Amino acid sequence: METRQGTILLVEDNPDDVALALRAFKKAGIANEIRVVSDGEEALDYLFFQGAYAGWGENARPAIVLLDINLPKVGGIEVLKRLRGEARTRRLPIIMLTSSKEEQDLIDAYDHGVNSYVRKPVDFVQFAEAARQIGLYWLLLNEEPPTSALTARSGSL
Amino acid sequence: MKSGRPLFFLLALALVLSWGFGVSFHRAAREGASFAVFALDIFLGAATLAFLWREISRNSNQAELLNSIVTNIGDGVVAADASGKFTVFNPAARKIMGENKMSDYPDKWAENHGVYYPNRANFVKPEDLPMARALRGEATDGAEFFVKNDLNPEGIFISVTGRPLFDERGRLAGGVVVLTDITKRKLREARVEELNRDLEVLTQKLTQSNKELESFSYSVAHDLRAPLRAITGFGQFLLEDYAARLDDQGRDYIHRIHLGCQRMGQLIDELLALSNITRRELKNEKVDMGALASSIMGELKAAEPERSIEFLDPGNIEAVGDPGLLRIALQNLIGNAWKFTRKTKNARIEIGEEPVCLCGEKIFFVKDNGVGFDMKYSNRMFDPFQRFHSQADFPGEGLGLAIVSRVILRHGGRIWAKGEVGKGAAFYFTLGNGGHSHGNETGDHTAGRG
Repeated sequence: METRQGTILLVEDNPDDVALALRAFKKAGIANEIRVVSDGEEALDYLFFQGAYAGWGENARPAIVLLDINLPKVGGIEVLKRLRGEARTRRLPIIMLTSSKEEQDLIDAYDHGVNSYVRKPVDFVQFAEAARQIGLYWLLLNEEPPTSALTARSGSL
Repeated sequence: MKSGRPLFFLLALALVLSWGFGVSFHRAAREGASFAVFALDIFLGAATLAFLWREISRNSNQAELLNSIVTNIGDGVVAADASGKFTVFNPAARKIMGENKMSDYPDKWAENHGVYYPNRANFVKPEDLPMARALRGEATDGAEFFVKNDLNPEGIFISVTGRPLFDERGRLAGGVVVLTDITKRKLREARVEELNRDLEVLTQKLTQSNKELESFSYSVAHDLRAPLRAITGFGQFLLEDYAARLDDQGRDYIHRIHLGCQRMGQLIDELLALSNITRRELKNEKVDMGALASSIMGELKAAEPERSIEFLDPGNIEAVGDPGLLRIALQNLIGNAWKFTRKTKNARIEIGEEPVCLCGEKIFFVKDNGVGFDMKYSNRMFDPFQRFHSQADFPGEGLGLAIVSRVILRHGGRIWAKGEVGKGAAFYFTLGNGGHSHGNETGDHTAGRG
């Protein structure tokens, strides 16, 4: 699969799930670099280039974000809300990748402008298939928002 | 006093007439006028006197009537003149205000009679007393006080209405107040308030336990699945990366681990489904159970087209309830019938409604001619995790009928089963008021089995 360049940011606190996800993407033939942050606060630092990530350039911005809901420090829905509240991350493709299929989580995620919501399958074969389809769709089929638009009109909320 | 003016007028008239009568009499005697004139005069005078007498007695009857009303009326009536001196203080007012003598009016009035604000702590200030207000020309409507004195040692609540009184020239002439004992009403109100408070506490507790249930379900959904994913995932890695180093038995073990995880995943999903049935809000809509059953049968047939099962289109079966929940219930019941006729020749599944019974309750049924069950288990079969067949013969988690039962109970209905080993099973259920064509929401009755 010839996918676009760009990193995938995986926001996941469970090391088992990180290992599973990395293998699933590898198995699916997705060669994009996958960076992992393990809580909501770190995710925000990374995406806003602040804290430990201060000074990181716009080219470090991931092509897609895979966001868990149940996260330490700042929860996934709150991370999503804050990303959508900032002009520079408002159109960033964000995919919820979570165990939960609670109706309220789905409602909250879509209300706050998530692009996609995928439930982690228990079965690894299905997990790998989900990873393959996520990669196929979001890194190949889907047209990403223009990078200029990501930064333009900042503060015009 | 309304009667004052006509009385005065009548007295004046009588004086004029008797003066006329006297004059006529003297003139008649002096001038020797005819007896007829004299007689007419006499007659006129007598008629006047009779009229006068009637008017006076009528007035005094009215006064007596008024007096009698004020004395016997259940409400306390107190009237005072402009100086604050009481002119009326009826027995009911006495019963409320106690036997204490009026003194130092109005400064000590509240203390002498034990008149408090409704908080029962402070005496009513003299200027706030309805009579004092009336004597200032102000009206009072339904002011509530608490009274505790020699005649009412336990204390009573009263409602007071006061009005100023004016004379015919519009000058303030006094005041009148009406006192009503509202203790019973107040006690009822207090009881209602108390019940409301209890209800609030209960509601809070319920909300709290619902929240706990919700976070429990959330935890089941999220936290239990994560380790399961790890077990099955890393088991899969073992198979993929180390298959060559494992013998058949080792690979079989990993396969069993994998199957166990799959089952546990299903179990978690079904437990969640069960708890969702209790938590979700119940809709109340018209549902065609026949169409629902046909669509579920269609799905089952599409999944296993090789199976041939006789299924009669039940036509329109009207019910009122939650369409989503009723679909879940029928899915489980028909799914069971589908499952337990797997080894039956000429398998048949039937869905319908019994003729309406005398109670007017609709009874729906799902019947099959599958493996059936022993009736001695019939009371346990709606409890969670109850299974009556081996996993190898008929796989399942034992939650299907528990889910069905919970759906039926949420509708305020009942469910029961009849069966015989080898001959099939029949499940009957009602939907409470929802079973009637014009049923209303029955709420969350959980009577019967839990």
